[in-house]
Amino acid sequence: MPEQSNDYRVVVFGAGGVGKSSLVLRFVKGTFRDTYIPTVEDTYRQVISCDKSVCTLQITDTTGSHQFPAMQRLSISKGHAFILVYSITSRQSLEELKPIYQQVLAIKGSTESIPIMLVGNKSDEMAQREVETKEGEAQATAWKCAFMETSAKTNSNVKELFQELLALEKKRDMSLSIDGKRSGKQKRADKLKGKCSVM
Amino acid sequence: MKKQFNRMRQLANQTVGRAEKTEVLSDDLLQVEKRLELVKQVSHSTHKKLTACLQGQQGVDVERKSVRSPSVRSNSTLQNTLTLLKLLMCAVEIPNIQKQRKHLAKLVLDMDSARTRYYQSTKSSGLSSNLQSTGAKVDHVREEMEEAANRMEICRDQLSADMYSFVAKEIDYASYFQTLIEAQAEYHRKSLELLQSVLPQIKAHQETWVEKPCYGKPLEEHLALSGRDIAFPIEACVTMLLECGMQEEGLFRIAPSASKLKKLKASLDCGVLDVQEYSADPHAIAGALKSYLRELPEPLMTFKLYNDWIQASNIQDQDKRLQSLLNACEKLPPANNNNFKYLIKFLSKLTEYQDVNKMTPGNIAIVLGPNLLWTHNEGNITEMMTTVSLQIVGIIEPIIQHADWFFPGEIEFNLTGNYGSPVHTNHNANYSSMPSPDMDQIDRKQNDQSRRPLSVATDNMMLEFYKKDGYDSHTVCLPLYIYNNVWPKCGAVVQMKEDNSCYHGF
Repeated sequence: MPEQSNDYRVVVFGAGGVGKSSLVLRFVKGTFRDTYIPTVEDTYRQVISCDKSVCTLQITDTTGSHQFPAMQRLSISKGHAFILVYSITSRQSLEELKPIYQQVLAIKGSTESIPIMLVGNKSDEMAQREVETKEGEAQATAWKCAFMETSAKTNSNVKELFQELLALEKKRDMSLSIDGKRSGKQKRADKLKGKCSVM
Repeated sequence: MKKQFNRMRQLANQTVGRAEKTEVLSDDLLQVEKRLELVKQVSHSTHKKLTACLQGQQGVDVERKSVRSPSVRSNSTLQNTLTLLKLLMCAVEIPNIQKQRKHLAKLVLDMDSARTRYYQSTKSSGLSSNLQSTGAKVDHVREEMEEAANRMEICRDQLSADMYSFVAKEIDYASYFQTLIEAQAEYHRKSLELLQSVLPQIKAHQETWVEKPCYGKPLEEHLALSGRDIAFPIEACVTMLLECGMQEEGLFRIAPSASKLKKLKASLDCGVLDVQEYSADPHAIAGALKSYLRELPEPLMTFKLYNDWIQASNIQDQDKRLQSLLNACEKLPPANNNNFKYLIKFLSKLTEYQDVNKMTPGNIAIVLGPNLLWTHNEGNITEMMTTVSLQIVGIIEPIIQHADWFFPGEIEFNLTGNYGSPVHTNHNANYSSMPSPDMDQIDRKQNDQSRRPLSVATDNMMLEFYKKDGYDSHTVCLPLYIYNNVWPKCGAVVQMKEDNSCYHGF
């Protein structure tokens, strides 16, 4: 178990079915599954370099299908950085992020020093686009956070997303690569064990 | 000029100092006068109140018309008016007396001034040498004085008479007040009676009120109040989803618009439903159903059985696990069992479309499970929400998968018609205007309303029968046969199955 202080916790929020798990899985495992399985909550760990040493990047993939305010508050208070995912094919999914952002703001007090990424996923599904890139950018500007459009399916911007998120963290110097190459130690935590682990 | 000035001075003297004023009334009468003043004040204020009351009633009547029966109202008003008239009479007499009193005061004043002048002239006549002229003047003044005294006396007598008669009549006036108070008492008594008689009516009306909030209310209470078997939001949402949501990808997973959801929940709470509006938005309907389940004070699968469910889900052997789940299921209170069955049957139907809507039993269990079962000890939130969530998935998933084994027999989803909404004629309009692939079925169903309760009853009875017989496939056919013989009307069960078949059509 890595030490508490060594963990860097990223929490992924977003409405149901926008592709949170797909993004995380694409990043962690490099694969894309075309299956349709809602997430209860999964946690993934990956070793990254941090301040000339190594630390564990812990990615919490939350559920979008049922909101438990208590659960959400807990994730936010524990998280260091946040990825807010919507689907460019659903304006509603962008709307869903607003209360989540407000909650982050309320719990963290200020989002100034907290890395937050607004992510428009499913950028491959241009035909079904409902939210224009400009709108996503405008929202990100309003929230003073970074913005990116991604596609977990076509592996577009996924790695960049996490790189930029880590770059936003000013308190630590982090990068995804260890000694110039990506760590092969990435692993998907056992579901149940993941829940019980000391975070 | 001089005379007038003198008069003024006299008046001022009298009013300020009351020095020279001659008291022409006896002590008794003075007391009567005081009393008169009191009576005047009392009757004046009563009069004012009554007038206000009568005027006020005109306005209030319009609002209260529905509550108060007209006869009683007019009756009490009449009595009040009568008393008022009497009081008016009394009030007319008092000013008369007062007018006379004023007149008397003026006459007294005149008399006093005449007397003063007389004394002055007699004095001056004594001094003066011109006796004749002064004598004539003195005579004139005396005459004046006597006349004034006369007039005063007449007036005083009149006033005295009036006042005495007033005193004599005072008992009558008092009786007017008594009548008034009696009338008021009667009025209030009648009002009380009326209110008391109306109160149970209102209560009864409220009890039969169809628009009762259902969100956040205990299931039993809602069912008892509305006389339903299946909670209104459950039936309404399920029937609507059967119409328009079965092929929606990610039903129950994808969140609805928050404002739409709020509106739909509020409209379900008051029993009104604009089916047309939501037919295009199945996620809102699914969200409303989820919210209803989540907001129940006790989960549909109950706190009491929480441990039973969790223990059952931990059993490794699948057959034993299923049996254990079934045991827990049977322990559910009847109301919960009915609604749970209804819901599971619907969810199982939903999974028939999983190629399109992608909602497998597992997926449905993940997104709906936490809305069906939770524990009341808020202990470790993380553990509760994740570990337990997964356990709940392990409970719900097999139940949906084996819905027909857990709850054998077909089920009628549209129990009350009109999307489960209470009888509102305008909803019929909405209903029939809905573009629907199986219009004929719906029309027929609406005509079949009278038969439906029976089909539900028999359905439940059959269920009981199955339970006793332990779900053996051989016995399943038997009770149907028996029931068909014993209770010929049970043909409704067959009808019910036909009704159901329409849902396979799309």
